[in-house]
Amino acid sequence: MRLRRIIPGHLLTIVSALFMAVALVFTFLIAPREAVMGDVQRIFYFHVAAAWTGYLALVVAFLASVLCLTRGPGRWDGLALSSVEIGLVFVTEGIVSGSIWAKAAWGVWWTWDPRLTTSAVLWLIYASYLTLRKAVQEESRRARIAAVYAVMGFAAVPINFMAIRWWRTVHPVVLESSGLHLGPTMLATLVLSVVAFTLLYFTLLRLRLRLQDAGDRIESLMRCPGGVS
Amino acid sequence: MSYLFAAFLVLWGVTFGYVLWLNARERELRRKIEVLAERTADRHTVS
Repeated sequence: MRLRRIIPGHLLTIVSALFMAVALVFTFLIAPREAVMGDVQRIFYFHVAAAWTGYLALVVAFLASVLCLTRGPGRWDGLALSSVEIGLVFVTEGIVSGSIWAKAAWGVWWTWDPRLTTSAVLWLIYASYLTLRKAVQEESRRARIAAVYAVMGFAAVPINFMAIRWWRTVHPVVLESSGLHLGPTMLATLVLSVVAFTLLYFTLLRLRLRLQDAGDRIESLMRCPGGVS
Repeated sequence: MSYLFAAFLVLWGVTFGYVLWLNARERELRRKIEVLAERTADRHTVS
């Protein structure tokens, strides 16, 4: 079974691009100008979407790592690696866009607020995952060590999500137990952005898995004693 | 407005940077395939 075959081909790319275009139109042209913050509030739509997609990617990496440990590396290791890589891209986008928003809203690029601090820790944990993989040469050992690390490192994800609920923070709480306190157009823009980013994640994952499969096949051919050496 | 555009620039810059990196990886794999193909052709010539 090839994991990348689960995700349909060009259709996904086209739908993803369409949703992203609609999300951009909503963000810049249709969503109303926020009364207090003005246009800079529009960063919120893509900041939240990037953060959500980062979480999603890391959840997928966690599940793939659990499967890697229980069922053997197979293709699960490749899925975990691909998803961590893409997750790191989205977490980076969330941190950077949040930092730019913070400069406009709070007057500083960075403050050691619980959400920001746990985001930085989260980023470092998953950047270390990629570094760790480069440090281990033997394939199956690397897969096992990386899977254990990814499972343990995943603890940072719920902590990061709950940080603004557990501790006193200046970071706005968007999703409260009473729901999302947004006007209908703002809510529609946020939902569209989240869907667009989720589709972008699956598009990138499909591309990354295709490369992973090709790379694995080439490596095994190069290593194969009876094959090409 | 400049903060808004800076945020979007960085956001898309990071995404495109990643896509370019994927593209570079693909080129690298294509080179490896060429090397493999050459070696296979050499083996056939020798045998």
